[in-house]
Amino acid sequence: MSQTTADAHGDGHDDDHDHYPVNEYPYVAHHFDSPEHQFEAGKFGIWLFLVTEVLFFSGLFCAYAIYRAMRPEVFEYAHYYLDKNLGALNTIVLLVSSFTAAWAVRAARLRQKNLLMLLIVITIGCAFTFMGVKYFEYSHKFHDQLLWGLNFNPAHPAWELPSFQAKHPELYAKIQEALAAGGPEAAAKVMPQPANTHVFFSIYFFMTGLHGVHVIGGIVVWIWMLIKAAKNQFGPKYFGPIDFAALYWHLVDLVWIYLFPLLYLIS
Amino acid sequence: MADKDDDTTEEEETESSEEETEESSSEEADTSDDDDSEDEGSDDGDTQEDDPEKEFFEPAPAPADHEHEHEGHDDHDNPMGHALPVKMLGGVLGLLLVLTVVTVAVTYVDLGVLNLAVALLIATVKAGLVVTVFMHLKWDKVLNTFAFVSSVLFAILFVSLAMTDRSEYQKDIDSYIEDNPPAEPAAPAPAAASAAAPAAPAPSAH
Repeated sequence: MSQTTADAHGDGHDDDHDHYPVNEYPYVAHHFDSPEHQFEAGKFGIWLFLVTEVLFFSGLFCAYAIYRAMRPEVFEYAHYYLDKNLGALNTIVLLVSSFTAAWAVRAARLRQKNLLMLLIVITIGCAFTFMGVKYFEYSHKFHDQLLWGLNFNPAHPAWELPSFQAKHPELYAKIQEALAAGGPEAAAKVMPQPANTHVFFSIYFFMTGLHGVHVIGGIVVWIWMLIKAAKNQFGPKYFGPIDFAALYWHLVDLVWIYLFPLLYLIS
Repeated sequence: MADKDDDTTEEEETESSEEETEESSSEEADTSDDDDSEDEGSDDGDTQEDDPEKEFFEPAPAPADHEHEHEGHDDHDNPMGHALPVKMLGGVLGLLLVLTVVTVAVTYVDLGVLNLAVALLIATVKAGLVVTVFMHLKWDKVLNTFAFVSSVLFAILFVSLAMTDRSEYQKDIDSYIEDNPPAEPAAPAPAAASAAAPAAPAPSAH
């Protein structure tokens, strides 16, 4: 092997293109010495990409941190509009898909073609389930006009929400008293909607939206991987693409691991 | 290198392992079957990957020694790492799911400020599990860990500097709000506000 590469370098560049492949592995690009070399380079490349992703998302986490520090009452008030259970469901769906993605890497290296394809299909299925739940959540928010900026015009005040009533029964009893005595106005005085509540929804839609775009990107990548797997391209020496797709997918999972408690589990 | 021979044996072996995969759909039976076939089919030398599994099938003369040997072997002979056992991946998934349940359960207990800290702590433990095992940084080159950890450190630096800056301006914000009080609950119920319009302007006009 070392001889082959020495030849490739020694003969100069013209020859590289004539004798494709220059090394004995058809799946190793001609500018790499060996499968290991290609794999290591690819992996470091994907890690650098993940680094940019972390920094990319950190801008939004920064916006979140600053606004939460400035206006904790907005987050306390607005989080009742989010469904904890749907958030938890989506967390579980993503974790399971992360597991199947990690297993897919194993299956690719062990040449378990059918298992690999099954695992990729499950991963894609989880991604679609995630987006389906998100679609359900988003459409509900659009319906109730829980939107960003000037579009924020909630159909229900927070005290009408079951999540609030379950958590603060005493306060809810007070509100009901006020409601009986002086109508919705009096109730709003017991529990006023904080100024700038709409900013929470700007942050919510931007963070979950950007995350959702990443999930859609992940679906595209996994479909590509499924096609490659169907062509039986992966084995012990060539499983880089599956590994890199899985690394990206785990990062998408990582972002959600933080988004879930920060947006849905405020107390 | 005897590449052609390699390819053919691997092809055959793939088929046999596929059959086995289909036969046994349960996780554990599945992997052990496949590993078995892997061992048989690729004795011609280009699969260091299945070494971690070999232990399960080949009685080791001295278990402790073998374990030790195998770790060193992995590092030196296979720069592409090794396939992680399904049991390990499943165990991590189990832990992650348990932690998810815990983090939801904790929100039903009022710990005050600690709630946020606990939530972030649990999230960080989960992230740590994903990064070390699922993303196999534990067995990777240190360079990758270095790149990732530095990005997280810079993100923390970025957020904490911005937060410090914000808190420096808190006094100005407070005094501004004192001078310019917000026009009462912004828009609790616009309809109700306009209904009470005749009464409302009088006090706010002074």
